[in-house]
Amino acid sequence: MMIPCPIFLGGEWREIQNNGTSPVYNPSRGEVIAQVPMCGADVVNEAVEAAAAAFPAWRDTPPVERARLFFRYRQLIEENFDRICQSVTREHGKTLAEARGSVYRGIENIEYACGIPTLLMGDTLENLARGVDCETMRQPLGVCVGITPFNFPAMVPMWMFPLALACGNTFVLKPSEKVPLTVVLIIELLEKAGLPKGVLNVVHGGRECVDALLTHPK
Amino acid sequence: MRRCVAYASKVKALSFVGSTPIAKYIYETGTRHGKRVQANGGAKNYIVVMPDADVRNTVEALSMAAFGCAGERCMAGSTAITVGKAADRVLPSLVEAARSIRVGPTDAEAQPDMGPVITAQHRERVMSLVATGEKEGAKVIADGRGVRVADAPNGFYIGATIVDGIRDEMTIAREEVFGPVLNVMRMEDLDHAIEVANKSAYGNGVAIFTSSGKAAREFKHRVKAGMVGINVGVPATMAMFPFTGWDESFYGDLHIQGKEGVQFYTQQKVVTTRWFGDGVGDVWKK
Repeated sequence: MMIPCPIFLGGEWREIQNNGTSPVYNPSRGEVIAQVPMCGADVVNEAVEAAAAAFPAWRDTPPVERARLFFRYRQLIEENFDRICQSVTREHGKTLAEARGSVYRGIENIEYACGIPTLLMGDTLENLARGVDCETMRQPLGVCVGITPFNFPAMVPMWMFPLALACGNTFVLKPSEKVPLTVVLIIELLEKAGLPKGVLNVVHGGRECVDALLTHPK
Repeated sequence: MRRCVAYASKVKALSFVGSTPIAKYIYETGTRHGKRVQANGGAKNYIVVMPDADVRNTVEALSMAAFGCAGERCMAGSTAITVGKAADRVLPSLVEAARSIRVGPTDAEAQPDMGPVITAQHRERVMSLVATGEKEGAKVIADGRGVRVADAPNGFYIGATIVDGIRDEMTIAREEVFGPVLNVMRMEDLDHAIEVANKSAYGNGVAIFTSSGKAAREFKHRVKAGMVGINVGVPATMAMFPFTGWDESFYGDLHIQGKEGVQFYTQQKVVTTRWFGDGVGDVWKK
């Protein structure tokens, strides 16, 4: 039975096939376990628009509240640890011990993101000139994108989106078309932890959509 | 897909991890369109083994670094540089360790020591790089190419492979293999080992195994790579430190993870403030 491989746009999971699909293997058996949809420029634009629309409210959410999302998320990842490791192993082929190690490296990135209120603190200098004070602050950029490889299906995405979101950005994640399934799993858990709609979006794809996108007018 | 993401106008920053040609492409395309980019590419990581290295621990670490995740890591220790007598001390146990690695399916309860590589095409590429190495004069001293897995005959397996007598002009010495293949280069002294490692186009991870503080100090000071292990085979950084690839292993300015990660995902604002009104509400006035 094929494992579903939906995209995640504006808080909704959607299965699409209109632009073709590509097989996902269990390399241990050489068997196809899923078909990943090849997203075209239309879907990518929709994802970017969803992330852009979610940005103002997320940016204005206080850092302590953004951090709380990741405290909850860390707990959920821990509770679903075996399931995530099995998914990593099934689509990448590394041993369970290696999968566990890599997911732990990912969890440490979530833990680091939980410290965002401290990490975002700026500097101040009172009386920089007579009667003049100076302060620095760090503000998010807007929509950020993560494009991740096949060799660490959970860890490398976790290098990116927890910190990007904790900083107040919104995100579009494009996992490797060879290992798209673990990302679906870990982002479902992020949704369960309380991710607001559109703050993180997942698209899938590979080379097939490249030419169509190169001629895209935007 | 990669191109479309780089072109979308509302995207402010791109984080990428993958191969060097795509990393370079993403960096160039993204920055040309006014975006911040951090793009991690491939690597060719050297592990220097000194004659005074602890044999048992070094063999174990080398084996893990080269064959862990079936070598599909940008931090894989893909080349061992043995210095002087280190080759004789370490290689026999290393070959034995490689031959004892059980390959098999990782989706069952009973776990093997090593799983498959990602696709059938990738397995072919790895095998052909080893064959090219042989043609160019290298010697395969542990050969995993003929491995058969009875209970998973269609899986994409290659056993642990060690190729000795590598010279740096060989194809297999220059190209990232991304499979369970360890190259061995034999050098006279530490100077030559560092020289070879520093010629690499990449600059991700390097390591030295030694019991000499002086050799370790010399190595960490002079070697050209962003992540250095001293008696640590895979010096991949943890979340609180940046993943600091150099040269063709990284395109961008601010690396992934740690404080550099925070800097990458934020922009700094400096606010200079002055309030007019002489002495109004002056807390110092009594």
